[in-house]
Amino acid sequence: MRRDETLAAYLQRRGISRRGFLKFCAATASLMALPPGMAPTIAEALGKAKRPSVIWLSFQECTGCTESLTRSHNPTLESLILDAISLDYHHTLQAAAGSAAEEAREHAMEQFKDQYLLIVDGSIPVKHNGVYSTIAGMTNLQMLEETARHAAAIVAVGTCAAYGGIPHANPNPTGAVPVTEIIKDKPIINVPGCPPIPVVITGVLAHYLTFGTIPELDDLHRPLAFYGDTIHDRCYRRTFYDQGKFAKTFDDEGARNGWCLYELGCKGPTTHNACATTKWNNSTSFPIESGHGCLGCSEPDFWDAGSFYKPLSTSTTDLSDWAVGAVVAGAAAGVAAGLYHKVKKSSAVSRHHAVTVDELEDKP
Amino acid sequence: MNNLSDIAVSVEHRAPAQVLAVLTEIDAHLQALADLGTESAIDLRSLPFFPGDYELLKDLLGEGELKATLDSLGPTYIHETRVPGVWWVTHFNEAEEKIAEFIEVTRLPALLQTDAESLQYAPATLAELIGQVKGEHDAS
Repeated sequence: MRRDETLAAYLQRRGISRRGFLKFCAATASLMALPPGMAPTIAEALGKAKRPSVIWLSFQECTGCTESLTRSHNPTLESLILDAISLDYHHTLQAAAGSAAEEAREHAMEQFKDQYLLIVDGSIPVKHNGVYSTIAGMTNLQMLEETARHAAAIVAVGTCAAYGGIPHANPNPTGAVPVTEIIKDKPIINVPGCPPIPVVITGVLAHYLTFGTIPELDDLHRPLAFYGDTIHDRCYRRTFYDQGKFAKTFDDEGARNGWCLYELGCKGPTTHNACATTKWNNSTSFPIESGHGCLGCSEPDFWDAGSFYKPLSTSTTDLSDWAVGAVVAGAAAGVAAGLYHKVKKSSAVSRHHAVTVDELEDKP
Repeated sequence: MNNLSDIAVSVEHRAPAQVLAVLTEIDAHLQALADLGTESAIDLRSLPFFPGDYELLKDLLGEGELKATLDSLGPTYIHETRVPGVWWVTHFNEAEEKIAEFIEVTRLPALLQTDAESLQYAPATLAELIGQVKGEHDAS
């Protein structure tokens, strides 16, 4: 697709009819979780939209977010939306390498100053001046600050970019932080999830492509269209929760009958995401439908939020019996738990032994 | 080795509340169509169906006498259900994967109508065909 071409003109040049264009707009409305009646509005907007430049920066990440996006099961819609943007820099997908790749980024930043969309996946380490992750001789911190300076908007894809993710998990050795802790003067859209659902990523891109604006966001900068409800709010097993029917183990009668997984650790009640409606793998299923509780991967610090297999109502630490009694008693609970943690931490610190390189090499 | 099919899994019988909710919504849309001419659509992707609900809804609404297939960016299947004015529209991509699905409450879905823009080019397309036939006629 040419830079100065609208998406509508691009589709027409590819021989796609007006009906095909309307079909594309209807599917895009569904993708963006907009009412079906918005399809004509999308058609009108896309009729005028030009091709935005997109720079994708990958920092402390596992590439799962890129894998999620590129393994999407909607190649027609996906490829059209990805064709409609100009992905000028992406470590995994670009053909260029080395200085040629960095020149492509710098060229896009200069040519589309204040207009390009910046996508970030992975957290940014800041400890020891950000030395724990570098690209082309620049720390991630330097690269983010430089590239964000003239971006129109930033999309933080994945829980790592949105909240710090796994690198941020206790003890956070690299000082990993999310994009919002570094960039304070740009509109930021958080698209959390470990990884995010691919259609959610594409839906956000489609929204920007269509309307040239960022969608309505919640207090954690997440698009309300996809993160406005909790998993619990839209879960098809909610009726069993309301009736007090819970699976107690993964293979008991309740599990086989598809009962609520709350007692098996499901974090659905406190997790905002679109898994229960949009689902995964081309709307095939989602964790709860497959028999496993929600991990809460689109919420901050989900790795440090306690066991995946204990109910939400359980304390996140293994308190001894006397502490449990104090919790029930009320006011003394905080003191009791605090004292217990202090003893536990002190004990852990005294037991800690730093392994040296020589010791590692001596081991068989 | 045990087979997956040896694991006893059953879906507990329950009232199809979701299906009832969708049918009630369709009823309201039909009323608006009849009284005010307002067209509506329900995006089936966004509904938290219990396993079996989708199939039940599709069976209940069934198929009427009119079916059509659109062949653009992959197939789209459109049929009027046994309830007049209620249409089932399923979009597939070129890999035959479902990309969107709607229940439309309308006298005729927009996709089945010829749009004004395409109509502008129709005389030119027809003129070309007429010219072709005339040429063959004159040659003979």
